[in-house]
Amino acid sequence: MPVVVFLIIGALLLVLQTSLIPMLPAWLGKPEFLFLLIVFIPSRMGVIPGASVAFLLGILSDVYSGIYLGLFPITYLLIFFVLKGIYRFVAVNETFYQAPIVAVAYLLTCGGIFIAAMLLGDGSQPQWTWDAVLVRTLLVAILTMPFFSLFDLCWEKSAVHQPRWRLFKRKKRENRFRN
Amino acid sequence: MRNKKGGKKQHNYALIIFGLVLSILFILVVSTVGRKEFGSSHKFLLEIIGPAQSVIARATTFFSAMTDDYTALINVREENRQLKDELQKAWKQNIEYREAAATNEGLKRLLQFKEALPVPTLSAQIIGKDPSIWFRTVIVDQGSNDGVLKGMPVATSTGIVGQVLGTSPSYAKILLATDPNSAIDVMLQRTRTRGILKGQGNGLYELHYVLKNEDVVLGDLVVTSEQGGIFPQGLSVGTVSRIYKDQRGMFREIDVEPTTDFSKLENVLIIMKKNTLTP
Repeated sequence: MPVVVFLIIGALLLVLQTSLIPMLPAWLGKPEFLFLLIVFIPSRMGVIPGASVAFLLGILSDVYSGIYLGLFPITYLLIFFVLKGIYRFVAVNETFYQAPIVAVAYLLTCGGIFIAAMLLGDGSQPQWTWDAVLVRTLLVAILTMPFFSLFDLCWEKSAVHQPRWRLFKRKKRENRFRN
Repeated sequence: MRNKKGGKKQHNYALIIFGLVLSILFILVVSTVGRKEFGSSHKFLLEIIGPAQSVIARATTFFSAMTDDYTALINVREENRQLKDELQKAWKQNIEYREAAATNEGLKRLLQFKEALPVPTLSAQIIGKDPSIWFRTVIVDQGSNDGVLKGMPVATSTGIVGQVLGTSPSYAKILLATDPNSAIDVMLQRTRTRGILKGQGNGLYELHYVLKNEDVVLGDLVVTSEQGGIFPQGLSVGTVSRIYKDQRGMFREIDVEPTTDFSKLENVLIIMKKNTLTP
C-alpha cells in the first residue's frame, strides 16, 4: 500500500512541478518537490519497496525531464542507497538534521547530473549556474520540514491500511518437541 | 346661609368673566373675519408658538435626516456590496477578455505563419516544462497518433523552438533550441554565411563554425538553413548580440539572441513531413 501511495504522490508532485511551478514568477524559484520525496523514502521504506519506488519515479522523471533516458532512475537509486546507508548507521532521522542532509544531497545530485550531462553530451557544455543551484538548494532545505511532515502523515495513514500478504508467508510451525 | 350667599356671588363672577371672554373672542372673530393680515393676537400667538414649532421642526428634521442617513447607509452598504461584486465580475470578465484577445492574437499570428509555410504543420499546445536546471525540454499535446515523428522541427511565428525528441501516441517531448544538446544548421541572412547554432542553456544561442574572415556585424539576422535537412529555409532564429573578436583559432565565437521568447511559449507549430500528416 505505501508503495502505491508514494508512487501516486510522486506522480502528482512531478505533474505539479512541470505544469504549475514553471508558471510562477522566476524570483520565487522552482522548488523540486519530487526530490524531497526521493530523500524521504529511504528514511521510512525498506530496501526493496523503497528502491522500487525511487526507480519507478526516476523512470517517470525521465519522461518529463532531461534527454538521456536512464539518468534519473540511476540518480534516484544512488540517492536512495546512499541515504539508506546514512540513515541506518547514523542517527540523523531527527527533523533537525533532515534539512542539511536534503541540501547536501541536492547539491551533490545537481553536480552528478551536471557531470553526467557533460559526459553524455556530444560536445555540448551545459553551464553551471551557481545562482540557480543555490536558490533551489535553499528552497528544498526550507521545504524539507513541511513536506517531510506531510509525507510522514501519508506514510502513517498508508501503513495502517497495509494488506498482509499471508499467501506468501509461511506459517510458523510450533515446536513439536516441546510436549 | 353666609356660605350660600358667597357661592352665588362666585358663580355670578364666573359667569361675568366667561361672558367677557366669550365677548372678546366674539369681537376678535368678528373683527378678523374677511381680513388677510394678522392681528396683534395672531402675531402674539405666532411669536409664542413659533419658537416651539421651530424647535420641534428642527428636531424632526434632525431625526428624519438621521433616519434617512441610517437607511441610506444600510442601502449604501448593500449597494456597495453589490457594486463590489459587480466590479469583481467586471475584473474577471476583463481578464478573461484580455486573455482571450491575447490568445486570439497569438493564434492569429500562428495561423498566418502556418499559412505562409510551404510545408504542412500541426499546432500543439505546451502542457509541461522541464523542471531541471540542466535540460531544456517541453511536452506538447500532439503525439505519434497525430503524425508527429522524432526529429521534426518545431517553430512559432516569432522563430524556431526546437526539435521533437521523442513521442508517445498522444504526446511528444521537444528539445528546445536553447538546450546545450541542440544543434541547428543556420545562416546569416545578410551574408548567407552558414554556421551551427547551439544552445547555451541560459536562454541564448551560440553560433559556431563561422570563419574569422566572414563579415558579421551586431544585429545580423540569423535564419534557418535548408542544408541541415531538418528546418525549412529562412525561419527566423535570432539576432547577433555579441561577437568575440580576440579569440584564437579559425572560427569566431558569436552569441545570438533568440527571436522566440521561450518563457512565454504556449502554442507551437510542428513542421511535418508531407507524408506524415494524418487525415
